[in-house]
Amino acid sequence: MMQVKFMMIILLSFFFTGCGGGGGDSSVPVTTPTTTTTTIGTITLSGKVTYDLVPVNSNGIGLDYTNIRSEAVKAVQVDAVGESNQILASTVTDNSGNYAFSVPNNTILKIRVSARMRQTTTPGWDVEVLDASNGNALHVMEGSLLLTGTSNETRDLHAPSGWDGNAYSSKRVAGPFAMLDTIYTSMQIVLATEPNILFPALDVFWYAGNIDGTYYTNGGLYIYGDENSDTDEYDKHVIAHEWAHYYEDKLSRSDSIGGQHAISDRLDIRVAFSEGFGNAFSGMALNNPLYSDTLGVNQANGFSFNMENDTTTNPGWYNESSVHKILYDLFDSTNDGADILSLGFAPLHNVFTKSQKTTPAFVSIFTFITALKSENAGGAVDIDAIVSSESIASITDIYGTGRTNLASELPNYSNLTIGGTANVCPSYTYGTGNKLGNHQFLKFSIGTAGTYTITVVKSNLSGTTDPDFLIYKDTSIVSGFSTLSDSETKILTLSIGDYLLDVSDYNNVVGACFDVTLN
Amino acid sequence: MKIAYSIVLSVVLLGTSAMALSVKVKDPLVVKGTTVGKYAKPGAPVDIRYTSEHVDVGDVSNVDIVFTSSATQGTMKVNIKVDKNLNEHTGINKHLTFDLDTARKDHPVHLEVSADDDGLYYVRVMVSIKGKGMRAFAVPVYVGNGKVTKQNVTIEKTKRGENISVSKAKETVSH
Repeated sequence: MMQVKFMMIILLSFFFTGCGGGGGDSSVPVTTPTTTTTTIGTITLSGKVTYDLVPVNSNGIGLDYTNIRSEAVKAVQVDAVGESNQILASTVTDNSGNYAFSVPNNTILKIRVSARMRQTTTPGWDVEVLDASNGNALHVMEGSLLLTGTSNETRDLHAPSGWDGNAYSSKRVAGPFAMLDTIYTSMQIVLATEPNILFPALDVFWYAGNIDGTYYTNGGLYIYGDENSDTDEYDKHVIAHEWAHYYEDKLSRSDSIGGQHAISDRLDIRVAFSEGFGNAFSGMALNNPLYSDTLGVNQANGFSFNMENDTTTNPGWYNESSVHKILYDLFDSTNDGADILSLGFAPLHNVFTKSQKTTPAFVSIFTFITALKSENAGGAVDIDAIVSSESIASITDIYGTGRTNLASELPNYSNLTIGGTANVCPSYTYGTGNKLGNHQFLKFSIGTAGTYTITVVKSNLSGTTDPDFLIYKDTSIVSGFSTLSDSETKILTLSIGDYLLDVSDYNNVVGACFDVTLN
Repeated sequence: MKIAYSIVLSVVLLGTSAMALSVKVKDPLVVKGTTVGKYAKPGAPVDIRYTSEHVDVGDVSNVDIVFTSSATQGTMKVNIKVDKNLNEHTGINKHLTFDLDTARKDHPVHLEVSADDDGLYYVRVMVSIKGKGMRAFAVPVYVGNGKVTKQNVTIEKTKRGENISVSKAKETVSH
């Protein structure tokens, strides 16, 4: 790309000519500098960048090292780097992994491929894979320092998996590029819907041996890399699922409180929706409803579930499987059972990036389906049919009123008035932490900006509690998280608007109830 | 949640202090950790809490891991594997099963390990519950200086001052 011309001024030699002897003539030493100017031309250096993709077995369990194949490294930065570490030319690979640029001939240089996808125009993105074990250095792979000739040249670079047939015996160079490939694929489904999108920056933290877990938080994907225990660089659905959390966080909104979760759990509605969306998005982006996660010795074990065919255990509005099946059915073009809709991603994206961001309730299947039906009124009956197939009665508002299964566990958003008291009782029938009933929701409105006091006090005779609360106005704004027993108080300045309050008991005392006041 | 945060912080602080120590560890420091409240990918609904003692080379570290699950029925299978350079003294069964019910939430496991060299080692655990997926955990065991054995990684700086972790590509050159 970059035309580089070098003018080299070469001092060839200095001649000192001395004449002496013989007759003692009058000649004197003469210094004659000779200067030669040489222009160095350019050649086209091109090539293809690939990586070893280790696929998952067709049954979704374990990695299939017998079918490793080369895949293109797409949209990443490629530099020609000189002997003095100077960048001589830069470009990015195309969708086939190809790159080309003009570089000086007769020059020693190497090709460096960075685990970075960056485009500063519109649409734009900035994704890089960092080595968390070494100061978050950018992962790169390099070729050798070699002399360019005088004719065009090809240098193909390949990132090997490091697998020798029995174990990873050399560096897992392919890992960062495998993850970038899945992220590239994930971005495409959004780009197809919103071609001028500017994706906020995303850092992926990974290194061979990483035991920190796989999760998304605060603009970063943290990915397992622990051989013989849990590696995720080739688990495309896992990577796409975590990317979906980035999408929620940066382009939509998530109110999930995190924590461990399984596909049959009865979860807090915020967790169920966020995790169900993550699963569904992975199926949509990869055009494959079989979610798989490989683990264990030689990455030969794992688990999978099918978002199209599996029967949900404990279906309902609190189940991430129900959420992923509903969202996937809304999206996909395959009609099956109650699913006769094929909306594609655009209507879902519209809800995620608009109404979901500002909904007055916590983000859940209720807020999503309410908005989707509102924006696609002609398909409301068919949407209801898909929702109903997961044992969820027709959703008519963002708070989920009208439940027919586990209606007693519905977070009913008790109204809290200024000067009034509301009583809430967390429950633990389905586990603790992030399960259905653990967190109780209230809503209140502030008509006059000012200083207010929120108090949560145990209201009955039970064990020692530790009430906590979070206040939301679109997103979490204030927490009351002291370790005081049986009460929690926060004095804060509130502006005019609608608020949500999430009340829970850190000690999970069964039977405990709390009076919540706002003054 | 707040305790979870403070425990994580204490692990970080202990880890930092562990790194700064010389080889001799006079009294075992207890490293604590938990997965409770952390964001996690889909998998078995299991959390762990753990303590492990930072000990001197050759001394025995007590490692206690408590498994908790929101699942109230079925069986939780736990496979335990200690790093190959850790000596395991307890002789416990490495393939454990726990029946899940509503009454019992905590499922403790106790191990005693030691190492002949300084370093940071791990006790790795794989948990599975039928129909609910799997989940992997790693519990750190600090011995002596507690430092990670550096992998074969080349860190360089670009002309622009950016740190890069360099790997060798397989390269094919043609004209």
